[in-house]
Amino acid sequence: MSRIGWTLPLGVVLIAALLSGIMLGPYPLSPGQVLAQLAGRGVPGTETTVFWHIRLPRVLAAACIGAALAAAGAAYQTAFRNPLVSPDILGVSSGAGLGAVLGIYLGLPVLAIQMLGFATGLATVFVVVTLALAIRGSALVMVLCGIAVGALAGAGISLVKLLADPDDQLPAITFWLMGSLAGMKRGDLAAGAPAILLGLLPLVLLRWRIGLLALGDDEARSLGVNAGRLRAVVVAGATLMTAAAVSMAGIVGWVGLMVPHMMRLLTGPRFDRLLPASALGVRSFWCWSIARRG
Amino acid sequence: MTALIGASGLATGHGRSPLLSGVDLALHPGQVLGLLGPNGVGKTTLFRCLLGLLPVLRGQLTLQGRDIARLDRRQIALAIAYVPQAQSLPFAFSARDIVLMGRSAALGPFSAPGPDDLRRADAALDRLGILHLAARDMTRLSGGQQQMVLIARALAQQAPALVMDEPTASLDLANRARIETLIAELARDGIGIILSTHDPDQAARLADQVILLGAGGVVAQGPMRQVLTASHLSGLYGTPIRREELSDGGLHFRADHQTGDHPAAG
Repeated sequence: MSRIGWTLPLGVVLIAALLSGIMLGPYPLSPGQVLAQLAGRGVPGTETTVFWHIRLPRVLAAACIGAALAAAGAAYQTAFRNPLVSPDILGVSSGAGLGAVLGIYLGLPVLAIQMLGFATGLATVFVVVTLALAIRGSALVMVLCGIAVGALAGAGISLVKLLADPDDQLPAITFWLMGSLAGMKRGDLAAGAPAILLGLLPLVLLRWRIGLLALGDDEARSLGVNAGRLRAVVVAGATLMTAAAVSMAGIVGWVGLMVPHMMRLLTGPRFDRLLPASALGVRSFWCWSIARRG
Repeated sequence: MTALIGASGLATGHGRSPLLSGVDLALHPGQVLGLLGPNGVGKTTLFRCLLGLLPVLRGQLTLQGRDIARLDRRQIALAIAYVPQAQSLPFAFSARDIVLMGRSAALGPFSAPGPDDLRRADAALDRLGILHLAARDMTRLSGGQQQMVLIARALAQQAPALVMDEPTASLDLANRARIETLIAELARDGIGIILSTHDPDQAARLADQVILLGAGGVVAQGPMRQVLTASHLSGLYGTPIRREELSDGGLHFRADHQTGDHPAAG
């Protein structure tokens, strides 16, 4: 099969995974029940609650967050020319985690916790980029700054855990840090999805040029690409997506490390092919995995 | 005639202190300019400056008559294509993907290559006789094959000027001859070429004009026969070098370590 031809089969797998994520679980739904709910002719009661308030938000969140993390991972790996880079390499996950655990510690409502996590995730990467620019360093310096600031945020998380009430807040913090889609509501999705789409937009539009960053700055520039500016766009877009995803689902950044590698086996390393494949592939994986949990 | 690449009193380097200074050159369509010099004198540094990758610290640099400082990356890439010495890739791109990247400057900012770009990329691979390598993983090609792919990418870029950093350094005898023939053909087609080489014989075969680069700047420059002399080269490399006239009109140079004789100027 041609490398570009993988997008269609992955799309079919995604639809199958979405449906199974909605249909399977302790309260199974038949294809007819799903269609009836979508058409607005479902039986009111448990079936409607399970479909609209539990399963659908959860699979849509899995699709959205999975796509965001995988697309961000693929973009970061290409932009930093490093196959071991994950979306949290610039400290966004640790930063978002720190904001979220602070929110839990302060007893904020769920939406405020997510918003605080999102904001601190973005702020952490802003600090990292500012530091790297101040040092006038290369992409490697930026990655090293990300690791250092991320570790600092990790220390902050440990401090909050130490101060938290061990009977009430600490379990909530621990569960949040583990990452989960279990409590996903429609409102959560509506809050995070726009940021994910906004971050994805430049990656989709610049999909061909981003691939040139894998050649190194000098070669990319000699081919007509402003490498520094383009990398800044990638960092901004991927950070926006990752911060939104982590603030919704907890620290699950590893998805963005693994999935692009799996998809490269199918599509090759060209970013314009890897981006849709990664987004589709990880969505399917997550939808399947939550289908197993009900 | 406006030079494809023009430099006068050019100084460049990393940071604020120039590694090279006082470089004057003019590359016209159809001309081949050879650049020779010992390791580390700044041949690649000069090339990086010509490509806008290093700053012009003093003097002036123009591409097709336009000050390079006023050109954006895309305009520079449309004016000048680059063949680097070597490439390290973190991911396994195919040779065709690498050549397709040469089409980037001709595309809009949000565009990806189309069928016409693919055709041009394959034509470039075919011209180098490596179309059969198109689908091969670039990281698994030999150094020489990778070099050929990079030359194909520069051809796909379709710029009027070509900068080649030791283009035949990794090539076997047959492929070296193929690339030398290609360079002569490209020059006949009107493309201006600057190439660096450690082989004065090759410079004599290919170049119309030659620049000898020593520590700090230009040692000699001008028409090939006037510059590639035994005395110039002996002084440049710090070892006795003999120049021999070949029966076909070409030149051959050899280092003469054993006798220690200092050769007469050629």
